[in-house]
Amino acid sequence: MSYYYPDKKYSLIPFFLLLLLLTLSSFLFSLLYGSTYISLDAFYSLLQGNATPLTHTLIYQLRLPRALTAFVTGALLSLAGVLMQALLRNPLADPYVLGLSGGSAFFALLAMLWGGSHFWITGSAFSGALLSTLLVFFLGKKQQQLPVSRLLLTGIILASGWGALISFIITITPPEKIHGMLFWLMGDLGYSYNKPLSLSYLILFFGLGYVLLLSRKLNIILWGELYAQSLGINSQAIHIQLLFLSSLFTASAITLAGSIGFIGLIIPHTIRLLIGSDHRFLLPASMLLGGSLLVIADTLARTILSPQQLPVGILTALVGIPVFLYLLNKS
Amino acid sequence: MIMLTTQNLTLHIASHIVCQNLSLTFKAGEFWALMGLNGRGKTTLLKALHALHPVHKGSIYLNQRLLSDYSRFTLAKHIGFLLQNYDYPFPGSVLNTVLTGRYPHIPTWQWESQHDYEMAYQALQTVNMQHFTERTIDTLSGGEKRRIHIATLLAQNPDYYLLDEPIHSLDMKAQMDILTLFQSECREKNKCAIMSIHDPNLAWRFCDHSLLLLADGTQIAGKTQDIMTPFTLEALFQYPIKVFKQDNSVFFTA
Repeated sequence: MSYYYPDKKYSLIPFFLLLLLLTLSSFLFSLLYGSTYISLDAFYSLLQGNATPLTHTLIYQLRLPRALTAFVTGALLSLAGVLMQALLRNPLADPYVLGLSGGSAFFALLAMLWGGSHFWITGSAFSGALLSTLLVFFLGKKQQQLPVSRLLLTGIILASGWGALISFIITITPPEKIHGMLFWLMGDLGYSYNKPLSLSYLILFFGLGYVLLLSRKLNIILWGELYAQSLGINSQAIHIQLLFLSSLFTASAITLAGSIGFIGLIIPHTIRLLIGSDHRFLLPASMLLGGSLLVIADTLARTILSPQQLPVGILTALVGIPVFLYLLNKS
Repeated sequence: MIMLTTQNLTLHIASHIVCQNLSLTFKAGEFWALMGLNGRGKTTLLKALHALHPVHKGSIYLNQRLLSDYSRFTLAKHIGFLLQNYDYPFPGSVLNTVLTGRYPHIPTWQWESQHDYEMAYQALQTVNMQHFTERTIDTLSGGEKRRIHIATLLAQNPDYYLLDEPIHSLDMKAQMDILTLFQSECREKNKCAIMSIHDPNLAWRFCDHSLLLLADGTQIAGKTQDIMTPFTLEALFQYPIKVFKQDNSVFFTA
């Protein structure tokens, strides 16, 4: 008797080639466009090593680092979104649902209020995110178990607590500092060239490798804790790994660009609608799509009203929501 | 020799006693009915047999080795669990759902092999759902979903089937199909099924062995024909039970 044996490994190759093409185009787009347009000819001569110093600086010192930051941020947020949805078994989960962005924002704004340098703002953002993860973990834990519903409730409550603290800080902040804070809260890649990018590369690279190793387990985890256990998976251990991995990804992303919304929710769902929920494909595809979408959104954010720049968070929402609604209606 | 043994097993849910000093052997080829009132602890007992609930006293052995000495992964090759309810936050295709049952058989670094696909297709054929492979599971009816979960269990191909109310809220034909399927799995493929069920007549008809969790906290186990009487069922259901006999059949009614 013969069976149809669908080899998923190979059938998705065109899809991934398309995603790679999108990624490359997004980078090209972000290098050429901005307050000054660089023609393809100028770009070509840059690659050959004979460009004006201005173009050279513009591309290598400003646009390329910014595009790379945008890509890494978008990729980290998308991965974090996939992991958080698997952990909470909830399609509404995003990287910030457990209050990470709140904790991170509170400490970053605190540093801004005190007039701390960039180093301090970044450091506070990262520590705040980790602190808020630990709070959720220890408050959500019950007798060596980490029940998902309890975790979710604890996270949501903490998130609203952080929200109150953030509002408090904004209320007591002198008006001239508010603008910077609002940019940070909406997500902005403006200062990307002096951020610790190399560490984020490492986190993205090794993080993706690690979650890919977990991906078959994640497929089963989606079916619920008891079912996963009956199929031979130690759900508790996976849950703890998921919590800390997605927190690490989110914390790194927030540290790079503030809390950019929608990417972590919309990208995983878009990929699910296109190719299904198999994490072996969902994870790398989300990473590529999330990264390139943020590169495009950021280029638009600094082009549309140039020389004025918009917070990229506004663009991700404006670009992401219609695309997502279209896919949702099509399926 | 395939053997699941409990020795002086005592299980609690908080302070409520599920079973006390239960010593039993579930052997290959046997089809067990597990009966008791709602909330009496049937699911808990099934979970304990898969090392998913802490043992208060006594021990459980699988093939003469303590259940707790097995890794979860190895255990899943021997024992499968059909849950009472499933939910689908991220519904996938029927085929992918059934393939999840192959998880304990696929080495960590590998993809599903042709053999895994064959097992999944065969299981779907057994439950007569082979034409639904590409349907999304949340678009199926309740009975169809149950058949898909049973196919997943068959694809897992364990020695022991722990079935938590496999026929609840199904129509009569679906009930008979499922019970006949597991009866033949036990008799012809030498598997052992332990099934929680509320209908004593179906238990009588299909299950050669029964474990009755009585309302007073004690339990009776043995061959169904020996232990299932109006007297024991009254102690179980806390309700007067009448019995009708016709030819070789026995009918219990409340």
